Amino acid sequence: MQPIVIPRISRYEESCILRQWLVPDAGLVQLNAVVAVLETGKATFELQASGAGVMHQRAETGSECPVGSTIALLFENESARQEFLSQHARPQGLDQREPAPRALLDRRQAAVARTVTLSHATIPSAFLALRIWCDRILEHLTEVRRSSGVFVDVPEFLIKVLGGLRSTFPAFFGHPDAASTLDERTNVGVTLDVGSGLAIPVLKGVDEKSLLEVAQDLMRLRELAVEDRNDERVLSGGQISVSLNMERDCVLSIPIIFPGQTSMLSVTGLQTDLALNKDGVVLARRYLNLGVAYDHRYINGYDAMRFLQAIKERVESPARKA
Amino acid sequence: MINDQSSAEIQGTLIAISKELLQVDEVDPDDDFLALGANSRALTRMTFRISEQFGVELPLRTVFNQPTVAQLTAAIVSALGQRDNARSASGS
Repeated sequence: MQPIVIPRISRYEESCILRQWLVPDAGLVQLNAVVAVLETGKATFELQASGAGVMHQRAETGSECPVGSTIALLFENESARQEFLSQHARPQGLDQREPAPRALLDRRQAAVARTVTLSHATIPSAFLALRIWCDRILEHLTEVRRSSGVFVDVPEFLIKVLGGLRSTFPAFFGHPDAASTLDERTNVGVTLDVGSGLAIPVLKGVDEKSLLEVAQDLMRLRELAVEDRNDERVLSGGQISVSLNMERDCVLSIPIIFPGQTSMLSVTGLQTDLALNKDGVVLARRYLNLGVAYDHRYINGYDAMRFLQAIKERVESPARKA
Repeated sequence: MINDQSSAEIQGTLIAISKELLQVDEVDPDDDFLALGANSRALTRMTFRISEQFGVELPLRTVFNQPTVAQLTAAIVSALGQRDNARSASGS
């Protein structure tokens, strides 16, 4: 009897989804035959048998399979399999656990579920938020839109600001072991949910681009998302991500940290605050809450405060070069 | 029929959609959606709603770069006209 074991497919994936069995129970398996299709957060893979024999499945289609787990056994012949069956009750799901409700999730949400679970299980995060006063940046962006004809809003400006901060705050731009950290360019992921599910496409080289170029890149990513054409090339390579939650009255969003990264910013909706000026006149001021979830193994609260303050200074003084 | 809709009807429908998506009580034809609190997600949803409601697919960047009811009404009228012309030319 030989086990068929889930291999490690990528550095940051601790499990995968068994998408399809290609050999039925009691079917004959040849050496190196493809027996199953596995799916990670980024792609699908064919699993080859490292031996030959009669198939005995131990995992359900749609179940989540940890790296190193045994999903099937290969027996010398059918009588050996039947003898095994008579001695062992068939497991209900992998490792006797309830199968994860993956069958209820579409492909994209299943990938989100795996990423979120991996993040919570492996990254000890903390969170900090600052209030950002927005009247000046909103006036500035309105003027930029008028003069350029290019759609520019707070997220575009924020991404541009991040492009200039990597050299000062390298700990926020990628896990030390992640391949993306070796990229000299600054690459920023941004959450886009256009109704067909969440994706985090990546704007590449924002440190080398103008605000208008960043805005045009982000528009292109939105168009790809609408057309459901985001592929691996678009979704990979991020060193830091921005979670956009700018719906009206949204005051707080604590994001996950994407595996391979060390921080994710969150931007909430615009709020209005009333204050007295020096003459005692009531003024309405607009603000949003900018937060950062950070990997506490590499970043402390003081660093997170300095990072957010650096962003705050640049957003609140938009005339200064971002 | 969509191609029988007047500009005024299109504008009225767009105002209703805008009020719903932006969660505001009033929208004037020349109000900038961004000044009313719109964000990119709301504008993307508006693109989908326009497609569903009027049967024309405006490019995403048209909605982002012309974010008023008046501008979008003109864009929809133009798109409907082009579609009708294409149908006439093909004889359908």
